[in-house]
Amino acid sequence: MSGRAAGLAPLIGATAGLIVWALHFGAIYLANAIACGRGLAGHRLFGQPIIPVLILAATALALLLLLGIGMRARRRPRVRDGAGVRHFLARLTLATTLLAALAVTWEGAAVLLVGPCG
Amino acid sequence: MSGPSAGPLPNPLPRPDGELAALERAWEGPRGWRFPTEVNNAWIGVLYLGTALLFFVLAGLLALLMRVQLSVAGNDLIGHDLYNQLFTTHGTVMMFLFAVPAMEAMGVYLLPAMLAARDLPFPRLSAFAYWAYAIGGLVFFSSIFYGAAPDGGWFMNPPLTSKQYSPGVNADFWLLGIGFIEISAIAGAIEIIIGILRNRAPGMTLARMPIFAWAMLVFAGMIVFAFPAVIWGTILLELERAFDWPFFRAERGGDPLLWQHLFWFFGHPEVYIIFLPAAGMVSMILPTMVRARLLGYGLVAMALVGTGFLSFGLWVHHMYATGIPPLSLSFFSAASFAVAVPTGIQVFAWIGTIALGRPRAEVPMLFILGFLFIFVLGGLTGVMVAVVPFDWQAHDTHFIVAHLHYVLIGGMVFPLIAALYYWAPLPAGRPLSKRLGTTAFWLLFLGINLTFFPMHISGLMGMPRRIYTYPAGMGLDLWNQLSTAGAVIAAAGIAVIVWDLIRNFRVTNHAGVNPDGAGTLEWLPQGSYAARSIPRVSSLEPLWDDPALPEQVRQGQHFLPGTATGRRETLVTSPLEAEPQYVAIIPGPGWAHVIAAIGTAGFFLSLTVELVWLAAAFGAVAVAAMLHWLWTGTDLGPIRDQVDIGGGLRLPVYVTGREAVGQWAMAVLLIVDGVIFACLAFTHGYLWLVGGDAAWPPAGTALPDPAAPALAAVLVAASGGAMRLAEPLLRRGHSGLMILAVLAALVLLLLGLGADLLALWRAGLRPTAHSFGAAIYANQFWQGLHAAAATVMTLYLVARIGAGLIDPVRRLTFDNVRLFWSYTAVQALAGMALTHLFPRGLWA
Amino acid sequence: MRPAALLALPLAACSGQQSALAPMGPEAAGIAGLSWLLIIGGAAIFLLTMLLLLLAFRGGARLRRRLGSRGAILAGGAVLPTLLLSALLIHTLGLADALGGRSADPLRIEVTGRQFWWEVRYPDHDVVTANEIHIPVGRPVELLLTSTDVLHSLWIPALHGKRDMIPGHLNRLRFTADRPGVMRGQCAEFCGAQHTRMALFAVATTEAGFATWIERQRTAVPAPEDPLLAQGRRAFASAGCGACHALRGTEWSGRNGPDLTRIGARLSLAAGTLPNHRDALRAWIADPQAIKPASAMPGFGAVLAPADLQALAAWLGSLR
Repeated sequence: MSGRAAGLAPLIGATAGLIVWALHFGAIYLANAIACGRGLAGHRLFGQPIIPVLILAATALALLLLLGIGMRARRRPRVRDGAGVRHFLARLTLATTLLAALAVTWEGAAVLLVGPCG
Repeated sequence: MSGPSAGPLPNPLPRPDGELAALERAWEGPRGWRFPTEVNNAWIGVLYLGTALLFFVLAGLLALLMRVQLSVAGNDLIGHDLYNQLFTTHGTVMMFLFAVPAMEAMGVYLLPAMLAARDLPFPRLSAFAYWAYAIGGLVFFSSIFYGAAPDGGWFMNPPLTSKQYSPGVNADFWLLGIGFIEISAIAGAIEIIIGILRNRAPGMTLARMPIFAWAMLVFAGMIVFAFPAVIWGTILLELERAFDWPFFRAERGGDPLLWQHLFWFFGHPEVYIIFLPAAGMVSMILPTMVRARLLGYGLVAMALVGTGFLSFGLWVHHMYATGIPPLSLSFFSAASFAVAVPTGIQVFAWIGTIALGRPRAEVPMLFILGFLFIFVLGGLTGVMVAVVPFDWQAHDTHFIVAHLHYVLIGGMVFPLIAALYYWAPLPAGRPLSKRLGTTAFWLLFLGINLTFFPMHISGLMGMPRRIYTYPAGMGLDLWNQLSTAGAVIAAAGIAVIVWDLIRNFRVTNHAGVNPDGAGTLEWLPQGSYAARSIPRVSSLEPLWDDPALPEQVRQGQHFLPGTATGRRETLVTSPLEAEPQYVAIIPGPGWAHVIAAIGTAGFFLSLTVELVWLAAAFGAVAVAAMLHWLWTGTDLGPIRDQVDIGGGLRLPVYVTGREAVGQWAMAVLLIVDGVIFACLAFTHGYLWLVGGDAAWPPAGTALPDPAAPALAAVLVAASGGAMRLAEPLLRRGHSGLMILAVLAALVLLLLGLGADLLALWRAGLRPTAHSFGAAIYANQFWQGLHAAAATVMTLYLVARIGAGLIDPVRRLTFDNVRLFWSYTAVQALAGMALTHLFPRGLWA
Repeated sequence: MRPAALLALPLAACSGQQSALAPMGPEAAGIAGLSWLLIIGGAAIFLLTMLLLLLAFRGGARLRRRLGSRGAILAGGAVLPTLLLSALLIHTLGLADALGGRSADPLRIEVTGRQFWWEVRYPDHDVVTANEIHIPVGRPVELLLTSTDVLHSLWIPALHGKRDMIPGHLNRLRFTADRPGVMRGQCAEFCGAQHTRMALFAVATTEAGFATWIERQRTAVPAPEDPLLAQGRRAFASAGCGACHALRGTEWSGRNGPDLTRIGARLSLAAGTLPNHRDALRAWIADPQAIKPASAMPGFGAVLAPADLQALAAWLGSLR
């Protein structure tokens, strides 16, 4: 009974990319809200305005993680189990990761176009 | 992996005498006045959908009244008072009493058949949710007849809905209506998630699951993460209204925007909660209509999952005009763009499926085409309003009224009507009228477009939402007259459908027809027990791949062709690969859930009209009924040895631990609980952020010395330890000691929580003075609810132990209490950390 | 005149436009341009999608095979939207940023939402008025928006999009009018019983005209010499109107209702509910609840004698 012990982890794993998206989204929203709410937007980090630096760093980190998840998922499909469910989940992982990467890129890029606190 | 016909079938013919009769006896439904005792999801689903459609028609009539009022400038047919009640009730009923319940209804009705399960694992829970919803919903709706309907908009923004500006009972009726839908939505989500993950036919892996099941899985998952925000929001609003705790009152450190964040964190995903099941239904109906397999199954599943996630990054796009920092707005604008991509993928998957097949001009096909037209248009205006500067103009105008109706009617009502015509033969045994359906389609298609397209124009020309009249000469007259004319035409379309249902729809739930030649399992021959036997599945459209299957299933040649225990049962399989794990015994008809529902409805209603003692009585009745149903119907223990379901498979009828569906239900419930607690923590942090370091806590606020909460934390931790200690005692069969350990755990928990509360009170902190105190006592309130639940559970557990119903094997009740306990202890510790260390600990 | 007849007067005919597509300043013009881009682009994509749907039915076998491929799903559903939306995102975020831009020395106007009217203050000129915003053409304006009761939202589409007025928050809205004219605006966030009748007017004039208007507002209300007007002033005093309304240079400084210093010169009464003339004024004072039910203004038809009512309306109307 190969499938018995598996539990739900592989299904949740297939949404890993989207979970990274959610964490990134929450982090940059919170960072900007706190920076604007507490008047920290004028601060500098490494000589650059703090908000763009933080957001771009978070975006780069998220994209790196997504790249890792995507690469792992691309390697997986070769391992075919009986019912093909892991193969399917690997493809699902890849597709959701691509979508997450698009969303992360768009959201992170906004910092290059829009001033933080208005 | 063998196909259904490849090897010998699991159960040989002829079937033993009496096997079918025993199965029919187990599943026989109650007759006559006992009908409300039925719990079978096939019946509950039909009732659920019928009630939801009733609310749809009623709320539609309210809309018609509004359109009549707006048909000419300066009209004084309907006054401001009634009009404000009309649009509030229309929106609330459509969203909460029609759309979400209708989708849950489709889920609980279709999923068992589609997954070839006898039923979902918790039919009584569904039945309870239905009755609570039906009773509460009807009472809520009737408030419009005596002028007590809510009038603050379906989003109920405070401070307009605070006691000062809405002193009447109207706003409380809104909170009441929402309370019911919160209960029934969470109950439905638990049923649907676990049903989909654990009740699929053997071999129906996640890769072969009908796409509707994917959609419903995402739907239910979204409910688990979205509804807690509105549950918490409504708790705060009711606490503010009833006890003057100023969460939303700026003059006492509160913030009206807190409500908007909580409401829209629920409210935006809500739109997709409604849309995704509809998209799933389209992906089921379309392949049958064009006789081609769904193109891009994996991509569509990805689109559903992706939309489910991304829709949680859109809530601020209802708040572009509130003055949130521009960069924050851009994140939401970008996320709103991103969610367009999975929707585009689905649209092109449908177009591609049509291109591959040979479309037939059936009624469901017409409604799907209407859906594509209206929904694509609404989706594009959705991209428009995701653009921040455009939304600054369009927001809260009739442009938005147009957009949201295009999306919801196109994206949800049209697919639902398609589904009605497509699946009607399942419960009724024969199709609805093609002639009437076609007439209805054209009336609705023309009517809806004529109603809502002109609103794009009137909105941009300066017509705000929620106004009961407008002056002549603003150029709005023509567009409003067109809208009203369209509304009348659309109403005629709905009338035709109602007429068709009255004439041609009689529920039998004994269907054996497959008029459109569909390929999925719900079209297997069905009895009250669903499919006679449960096939092993090896493709997405088993009926297309194996034409002999229906007959084999009907004759009982596949798994579990009868009842193994003489009771109602359903087969439980593993979540990924759907390998059979055990045969779960599920409840049959009974009164307990009906009484519990009446008690619940009575409880909330009495609270609304401030009859506290009556509320307490109803609450006691509800709890007693629930305990009765738990006592008699759950944790039955291994009443049989392993049973043979055919094909050499012998399965237990009772399992505990990670495989038990009961544990899964508790786990899902605790996730809901955890998300509510996250909303609680968000409330705390948000008020701190808005209030500013100097004013939150306000000057002069004294928090207790850390020693008191430290002691409280030790007591709570000890309580968790005592419950852990009970486990080895159970394994060794020491019932008496176990009772002691469990009671000690309860006492320690109550002492710990009580010590914390007492310390706060004695330090002089009060909930009404400032939002700081309000937030801290809201935390206490939430912990108090858990203490009450823990008390009931503990006493129940002790009674079960005392009655000898808990032993080292039969221990599901204990496991669930222990799981709840671990959560409650951790949550209590987290709550104390929040109260005493934040923001105090930030600078200390 | 009966209230219903008053309401039927074509109010908007004497007032400005309230259309987002008829901008009177660069901010609204920028959004209107964006709107047309979105409308035309959206229509094009809609027509393209419907064409593809039609081709899925009626197209040739080869075309249908091509539509019915995973490549088509990815091209039409993922690649094309990604490219189009990327371009749109860059364009619109840039525009949003430009619309929020600061100018060095704007004309500051504080607007406070009340149930169901607008209090307007010019802090740098010491001027208080209601339901009307006067601005000079060409000078950048910064509105400082808040509310003292429930949520409201200020929306003058010819000048800019809407911005919410929230108790405890101060929101800013910056715009410029680039030609003279009268523009109508309206509350856009549902604010209770008479949300419908909460409009205001923005009047853009030349710098000279604006200076004259400001000076007028700052001038104290003189004691009337005409006996009818004097009778009206006495009626104002005897009915206790000053408890809620202020008049500059008088003993009345109530803050619950609109400042009435130059009420006679305003374009409308009761926040855009009635056109401003003597009959309307009298009808409003006599029975406001018939005209705008749930307004905070009580009726004085039973308190004041008809002649006093007439005189009061005449006096207030003379405050121009």
